[in-house]
Amino acid sequence: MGTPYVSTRTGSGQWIMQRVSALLLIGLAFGHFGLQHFTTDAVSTGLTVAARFNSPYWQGYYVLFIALALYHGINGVVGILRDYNPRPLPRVLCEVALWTLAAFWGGRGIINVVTPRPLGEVKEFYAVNGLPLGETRGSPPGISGVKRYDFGAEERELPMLLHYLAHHVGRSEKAPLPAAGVPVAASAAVRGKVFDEWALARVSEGPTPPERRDREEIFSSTYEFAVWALRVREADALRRKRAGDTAATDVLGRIGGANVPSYRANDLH
Amino acid sequence: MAATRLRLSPVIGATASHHAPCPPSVRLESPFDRSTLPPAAVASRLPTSHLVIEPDRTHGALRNWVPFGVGGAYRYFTGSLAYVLHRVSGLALLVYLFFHIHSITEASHADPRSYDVLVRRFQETDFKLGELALFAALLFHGLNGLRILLVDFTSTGTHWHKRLFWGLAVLTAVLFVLGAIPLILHSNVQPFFSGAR
Repeated sequence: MGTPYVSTRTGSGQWIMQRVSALLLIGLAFGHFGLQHFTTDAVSTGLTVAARFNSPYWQGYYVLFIALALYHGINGVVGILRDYNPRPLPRVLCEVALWTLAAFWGGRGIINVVTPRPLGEVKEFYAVNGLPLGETRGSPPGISGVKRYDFGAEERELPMLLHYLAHHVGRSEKAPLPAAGVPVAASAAVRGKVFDEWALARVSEGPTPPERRDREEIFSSTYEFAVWALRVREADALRRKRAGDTAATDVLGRIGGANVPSYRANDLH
Repeated sequence: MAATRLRLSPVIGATASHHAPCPPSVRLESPFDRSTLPPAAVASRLPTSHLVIEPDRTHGALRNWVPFGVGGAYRYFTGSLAYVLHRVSGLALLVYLFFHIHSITEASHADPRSYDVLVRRFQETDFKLGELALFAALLFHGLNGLRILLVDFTSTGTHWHKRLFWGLAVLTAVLFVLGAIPLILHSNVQPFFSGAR
């Protein structure tokens, strides 16, 4: 039977702080990993990340997480270093270098968290430019070949827009989801047409009054989402048309023919 | 200046020997009870570091898997296995943390849509394997950290520490398998990010 180890000797401050930060980090780290991999928020996009970094609660969470994780990690390395009993000069040089690195890198991360791009700006960026198009170097990079992807392709764009509708729209209107009644096996063009008609009907109902908007959500009302989604669809269809996809003209005709206002986050959120 | 020698394992019970030189008997402290030293070596106080010291409790030791005699007479017990794994996983997590802060910061400064690109890249095989390794390291380091807290802050922790270690090893394995299934399938992300077009 031992007794709990309690000491006030040199180094006991670092020793106890290593355990205190560990206890907090268990919650913070498992929470972060779970959020990013085991919840619907795992679909991290520019929108969801901007929304999280614009929330003061999440900012607090990540500032605390970055500071504690770097403190805990560097304090652990300093402990390992001291176990090897180095001479005083190399020891001090190594410790100063380690803490400088932690302060610089932690400062970078914390500044990034506390000065986010405004959510409205990000939403307007998507409304103007559509969903991204790009390529990665494959896996393993450079051997398996370049992988191209296009989130703006109609069969990729629709699930993404429906995901935002299901998880990130304030639903005070109780408007039905457009997916209801749409055959799953239907082609992307058919499902796109159903989606556009649903969104145009929401737009024709007019803006939601401010007192019924849910500002905690990325899209405060179904109206705001409908305007945004139509603008995204239009930008993507324009790009597909330029690439020679003739089916995109139908989308452009549907949206261009209706009286859809331009998306302004400040007015609609 | 005293001749320096590469030490692969830290000095157990080290004192600041270069500040205040100690008698050889103190500097040659082994991780084992001093009674395991050959009586002649103790009596003569000659350097014994070249001797292979067999501990009494060989039945409690895990085989030293490091080849070519690296680690010298070091024997791995449950506690030392936990100690090595905790350090290795901790260092790996710290290195990962630097890369993680870097990639997120870079993505924030670029086009806001670069997160979509980043998450698409994370679905490829190399990153997926890294993600599984990260999950394993995080699980082990976190659970073993809890075990360290129990050993340090409860009066009976030292009595249970081996059983706690093997318990957490089983728990880590179970949680890893349970978590790896959704990580590999990634069913909540798959509709959006799967497959190249």
